Amino acid sequence: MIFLTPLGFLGLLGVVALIIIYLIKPNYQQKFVSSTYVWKISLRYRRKRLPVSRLRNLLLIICQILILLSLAALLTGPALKIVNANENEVVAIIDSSASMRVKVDGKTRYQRAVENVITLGNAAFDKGGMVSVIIADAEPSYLIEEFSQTDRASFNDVLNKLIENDTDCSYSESDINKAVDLTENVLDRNPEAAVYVYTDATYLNTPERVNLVNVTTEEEWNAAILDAYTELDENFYDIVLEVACYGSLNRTLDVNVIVRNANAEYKDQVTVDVPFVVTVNCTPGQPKKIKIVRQEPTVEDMEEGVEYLLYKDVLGSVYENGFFSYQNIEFSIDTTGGDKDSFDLDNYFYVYGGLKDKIRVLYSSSRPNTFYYNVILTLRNNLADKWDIEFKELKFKAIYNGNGEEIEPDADAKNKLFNGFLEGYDFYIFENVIPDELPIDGVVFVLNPLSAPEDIELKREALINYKGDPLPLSVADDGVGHPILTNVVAENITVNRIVKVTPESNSGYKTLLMCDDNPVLLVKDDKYVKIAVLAFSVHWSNQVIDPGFPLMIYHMFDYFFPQMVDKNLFTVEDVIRLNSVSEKISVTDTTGKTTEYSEKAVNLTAGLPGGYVVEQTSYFGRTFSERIFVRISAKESDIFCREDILNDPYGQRESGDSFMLYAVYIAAALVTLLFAEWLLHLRDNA
Amino acid sequence: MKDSYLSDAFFSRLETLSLNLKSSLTGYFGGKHLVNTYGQTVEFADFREYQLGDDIRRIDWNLYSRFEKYFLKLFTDERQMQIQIFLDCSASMGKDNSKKSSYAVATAAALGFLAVHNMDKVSFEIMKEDKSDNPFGTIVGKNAFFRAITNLEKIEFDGDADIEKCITGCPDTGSRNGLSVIVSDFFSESNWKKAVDYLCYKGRQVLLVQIITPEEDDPAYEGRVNLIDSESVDIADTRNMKLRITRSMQKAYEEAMKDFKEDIKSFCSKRGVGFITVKTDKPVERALFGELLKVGIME
Repeated sequence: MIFLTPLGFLGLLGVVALIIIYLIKPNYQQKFVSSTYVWKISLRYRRKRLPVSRLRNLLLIICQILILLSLAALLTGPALKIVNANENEVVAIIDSSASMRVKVDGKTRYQRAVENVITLGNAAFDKGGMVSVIIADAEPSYLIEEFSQTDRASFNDVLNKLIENDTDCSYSESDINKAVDLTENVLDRNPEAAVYVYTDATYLNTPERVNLVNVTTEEEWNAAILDAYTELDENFYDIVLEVACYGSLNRTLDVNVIVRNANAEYKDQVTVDVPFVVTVNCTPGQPKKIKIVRQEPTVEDMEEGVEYLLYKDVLGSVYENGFFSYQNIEFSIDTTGGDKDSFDLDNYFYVYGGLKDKIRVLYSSSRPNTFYYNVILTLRNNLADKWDIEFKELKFKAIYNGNGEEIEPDADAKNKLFNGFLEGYDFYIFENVIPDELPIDGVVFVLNPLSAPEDIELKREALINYKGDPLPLSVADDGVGHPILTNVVAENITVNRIVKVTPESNSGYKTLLMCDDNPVLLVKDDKYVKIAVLAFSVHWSNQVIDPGFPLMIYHMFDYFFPQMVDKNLFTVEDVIRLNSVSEKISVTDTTGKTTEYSEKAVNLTAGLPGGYVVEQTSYFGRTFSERIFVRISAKESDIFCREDILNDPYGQRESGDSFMLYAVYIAAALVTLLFAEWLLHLRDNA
Repeated sequence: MKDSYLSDAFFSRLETLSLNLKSSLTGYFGGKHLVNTYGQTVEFADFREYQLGDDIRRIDWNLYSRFEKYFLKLFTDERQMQIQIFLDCSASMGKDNSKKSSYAVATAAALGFLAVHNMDKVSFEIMKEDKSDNPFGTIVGKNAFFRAITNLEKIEFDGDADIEKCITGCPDTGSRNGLSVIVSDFFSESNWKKAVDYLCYKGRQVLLVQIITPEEDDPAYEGRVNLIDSESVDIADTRNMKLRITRSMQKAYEEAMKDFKEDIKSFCSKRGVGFITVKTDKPVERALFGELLKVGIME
């Protein structure tokens, strides 16, 4: 047993004081009595019980001494050492961030770190200590946990494999502090274990007991494309580029730019690739932003810290306006003199999305109105970053009966009308007159049908007129939470007349909106049949003034034509969400490996930097493809980055062995003794 | 200032009581007590057969006519009794407690008054050290009594008193002629029992009157005390005691006191000696007469 606070022994002076108190004759009060004769006799009576009394007195003194001893013991903090802390135990954290792939003389920082850990581990084994290794990537975890000397061979095998397999180091940022927190598993058991952190980062504040090993070397340097993108300005793209260098020397960087399929009219059209070079002088650690524009910006429009280049200066007069489209733009870095940098993962950059897949829309109406026309045009503009919408209008004259009501043309007339327009489009809008056979290669949107062809699986009944005030629409059960009705307030849309339509049983229609218990918006979303039916005319509703209707059309388009990916640029470890409109969607990564997914929505984690291709073929036979670029984090490009604070895993932990404290037991004994003393006093006075 | 119980009211209360003592007297002062010997009074006592030489005038002729034998009629004879009151004047009787000393004096005076009121003789023996002193002589009559009492009140209670030596050494303890009263607290190492035996041997009727204070009977003090005996010479006197008085000590004292009284009572009972204990917190006459009635000294 040891005493954590030896000074507590001073409490034993209390025992000395107690003994002195007993020895010092207590103060007796003088009392004059007539005679002590009877008192003397009473002593004889007292003496009969004397042995017990003496014993009680003795017990009292013993009790009091024990109380004082207990107090002194509490003060000294006696404890039993329960763990023989082993200072030869080590926990090594290996930074596995992308910047640890910096390579000099054929060896990466990561490999150097692993080699150091192998040396450290073997040295610990030689001294009889245990070794644990944590790999610090985005989600740190133990690679090796509490290996002892007997596991030396296994330890060396595992770590040597890390050196051999270049892919073991991640491409993402690392969470070193989370890795440090993991060391508490070991430190809780052995507070004397040494923590080593092998990293390329420097910290402003490193805990005293943590051994920070910086694996960088002076020869390392990096030239990086931190970011690149385009900005649409009056239908032409400005190119924005951000580059930097890190190291000890200023560098002149040549950024090679290639605009692929420049100014193509449509996707997959083959035009020309336009290459050019942008030369940038960089000071280490100070990123530079360059913007290539058509026109010199005004002083007010100029952004601070941005270097502006004109297309005409860079490319000459042919491309003085820049580009209105591109398939993709490739950026890569060359250093003058051919001096290769130590880290090449950020030496290239791809910008995709310059050309969109085309969506062809057909609007057919016997009484075309500008409302739907404008809705579709607005849609085209709003979805320009997702789709290239091509719009075709099919107009023809309405036919009326004697009552002034529009009627359908006969079959032959219909066939003539729709000849050549029932295929080749992705989105068909039929207003009033519906073809007898619906197209099968796209989404069909039927408005105010005069008839119901067989394949629409709907029964078109009579018109219903609502006299008096127009009736508001209401959301049906199937419409609650439906994506098409997002932010649409159905009650704001009112109608005077509707067409009564009744879906056939098992037709698969979902009623989204109702009017007076009659379905007015129905949607069928089958693999090969996608139909939406709106059972009233714009002329008999307030659609033209309610913003809910265009919103509904926008959502409908988005519903039937979801974008495969919501953006083209991701960072490693980002989640890429894919939306499928087909049976399967395939993803090909930078290594060429293709993976197929059959779910409608897929979430992928981008593990590798580089270009990915996402493809799918819709049920209607259209093939859509999209390219995305996954870059490494800009933070990892700064290969000499400085961090603020490294967590202290030792924290308030006491250095040294663990102890089992006896204080609780002594306190319990003290309470018992106090009670006994009180009891003895009570008996004495009884 | 000493408490004094000897007031006119006190004595007038005493006058209403008679002292009837069982005693045989040999004195011939004609006091009011009827004694067991036959005398010339008119109070018939007994018959006796005529013996040659008896006075023929005492022959009872009625008995002769009945029995044709000669019988003499005997009559009681009143003799004067001598009451001897031994008063313990040691320090324990009131050196530090004037009430006790006054009470002792009052008790002795009360007994003395009763004696003189019944035309008995009384003497006060002042016991101090190892001898008793009779400063007032034999007192007969009330006048002499009151004169003596006045001086009795002035007596100092100090020192110690060896009751045995005082009584056995007393030049005139009388014999078969009265009552000897010892007024003391009997808190003494002295072999007073021997003195009692001596008085019994002398044919005296003996009465022990123990006077104690309530505090002596049931001491209420406790804690660490240095008890200074009033009869101790100095602090180092062995009679002094250092005690830590606890409840158990008090209980032991209670037991000791009880046994002490029982011991005296038992001793007295075996010898036909009267023993009463009076406490100073009760009026003298009530305590005294009550106790005297209990033991049959008074009627």
